[in-house]
Amino acid sequence: MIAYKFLARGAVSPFSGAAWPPPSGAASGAWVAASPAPGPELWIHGCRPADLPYWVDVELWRIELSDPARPIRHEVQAERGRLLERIEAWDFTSRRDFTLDCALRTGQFAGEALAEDGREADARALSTCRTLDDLAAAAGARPQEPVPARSRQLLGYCGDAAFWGRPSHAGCVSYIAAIAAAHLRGDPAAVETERAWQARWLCDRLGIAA
Amino acid sequence: MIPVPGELSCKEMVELMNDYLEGRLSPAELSDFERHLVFCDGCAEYLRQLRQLGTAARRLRDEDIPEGTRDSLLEAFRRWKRE
Repeated sequence: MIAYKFLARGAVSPFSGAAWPPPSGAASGAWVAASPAPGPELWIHGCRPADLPYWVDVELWRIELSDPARPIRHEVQAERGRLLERIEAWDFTSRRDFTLDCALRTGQFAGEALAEDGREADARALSTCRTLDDLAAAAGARPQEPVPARSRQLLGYCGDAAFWGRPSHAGCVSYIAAIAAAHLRGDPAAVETERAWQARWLCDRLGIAA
Repeated sequence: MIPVPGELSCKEMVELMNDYLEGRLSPAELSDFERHLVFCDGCAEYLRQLRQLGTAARRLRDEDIPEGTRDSLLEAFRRWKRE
């Protein structure tokens, strides 16, 4: 099956440190097995489009997994895989934009909580943030009155998102946004909803069919 | 922090580190473990240090350890097992 895989710089697996053989010209990369004799616990891992936000890293590749590939949690696993082509649209700029949008979403969630607490001015300050500096300032602004616990927690997530909001920490900031969504709704399932929003962002920007 | 099903806490990650390094996690556990490493610099750094420690420890020979140190380590391990 065709799937996707995030790798560290140089087509290196972020977990094992193994370097993947890259494609050469029109030829795909060589097949890679998780081990010389694949056992039930050793698999090549890939992503479906909906899985992408859980695994972000510096490089994104379109890959082929051997059949049968099986879904597990937020990935698919197969005995073998090979690199087909690098998705060049996933570059510094798109990583930066994705990270910023996730951070600003965190601000919107905090704004929703503040609005529900009747703190309209503070909510507006968060909803109009356009940069990480805006977000850091809005999250760190000293409130006139004590802030209720849920909003205070969400403002903390905003501060975290602004602090970590560099392209190198896209995985961290997208996670913060998903947890903030769950905190706002009081429902762990909101994590999945926010991850679905992130997957749509990535697919739209990178031209991947969702 | 709101508990999310399938999400490991950092404490659970620490408990699973050795199983991960020794390849003893099930495919589902492995997926949860590696997904946590994507967003948690602290756990990723701890894992890196454990790997370094393992590499260094494998290079050690019996004669590299001073006798007094070896005896006190063995005694500490025996005491820990008794407890």
